[in-house]
Amino acid sequence: MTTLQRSQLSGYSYLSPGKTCSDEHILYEHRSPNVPGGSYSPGKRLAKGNYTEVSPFSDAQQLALSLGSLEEEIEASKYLLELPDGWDGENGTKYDIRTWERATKFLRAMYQTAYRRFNVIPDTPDIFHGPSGSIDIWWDKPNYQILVNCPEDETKQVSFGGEEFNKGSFKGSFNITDSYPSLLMILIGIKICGS
Amino acid sequence: MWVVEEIPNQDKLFYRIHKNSYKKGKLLPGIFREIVDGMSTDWEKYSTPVDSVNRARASNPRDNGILGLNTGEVREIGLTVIHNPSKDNRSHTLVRGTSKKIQDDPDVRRRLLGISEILILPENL
Repeated sequence: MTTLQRSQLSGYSYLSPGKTCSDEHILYEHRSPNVPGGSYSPGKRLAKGNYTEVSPFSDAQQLALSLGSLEEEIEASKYLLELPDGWDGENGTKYDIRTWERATKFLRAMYQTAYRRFNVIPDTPDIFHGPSGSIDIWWDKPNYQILVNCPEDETKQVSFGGEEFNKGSFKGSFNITDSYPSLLMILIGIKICGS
Repeated sequence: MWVVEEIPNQDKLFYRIHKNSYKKGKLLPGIFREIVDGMSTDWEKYSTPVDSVNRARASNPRDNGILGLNTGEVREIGLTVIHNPSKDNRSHTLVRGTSKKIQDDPDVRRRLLGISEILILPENL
């Protein structure tokens, strides 16, 4: 059983001063409709500051099911490796597979950490070709936006900017090999505390 | 040579986009970038969206579309708007980031996307 204490999130600067998660949160059972007997069901209200989930699947099965949509998006993003020189009608150059591999490895690692450490599956982003050989990871959701850019130059940091509508904006950067990037905590915060 | 003018906040800028700027029916945030000394746009005072789309030199105009950006909203993002007329194009205007180039600032690109209005869709989508 995984337990996430509210204090684990409130220490991050993402939360505005004086703002905490609400006392009760609705978490969703990650039962997939794609498996026999599976279905999405409304979450149940849980005790204050103590989040638990019950699943009929093993941890490994649960993770595989929950990350399925991320894997689908990663697979779909391979389109960008097929873009030829001049793909933008001007001077756009081909995308380096090493940039795509770094970006997708980072995403998988972050989602696995989110699930294993915090019992949260962030929303699935879109993965698109970005400027100058970089890769954009784009969460364009009804209640928030986050744009993350993974540069072609592996020595440069990943940068991001975003906004949780009616709550505030944020921006930052981190090393792509960080185990707990600030982005992870923002995504978890939105998932747990977001509307 | 044309005189450089101050562009009023209420005026529109036209920004050319390529058909590969679309994916899954969405306009991509990666479209905004500076080339050499700024992001090239056309000022509506001396251009129309059709003029701007036909000005594409390197590619088929049918592969291109036009976005409209309000000058005041571009400035609110923290970008600089500079009228930069050339012999062939009196409307030419540069948009620049202040501390870093537009393509290197995902938050600026996200906000530019938010204020963009599609005026002409690429025909060859």
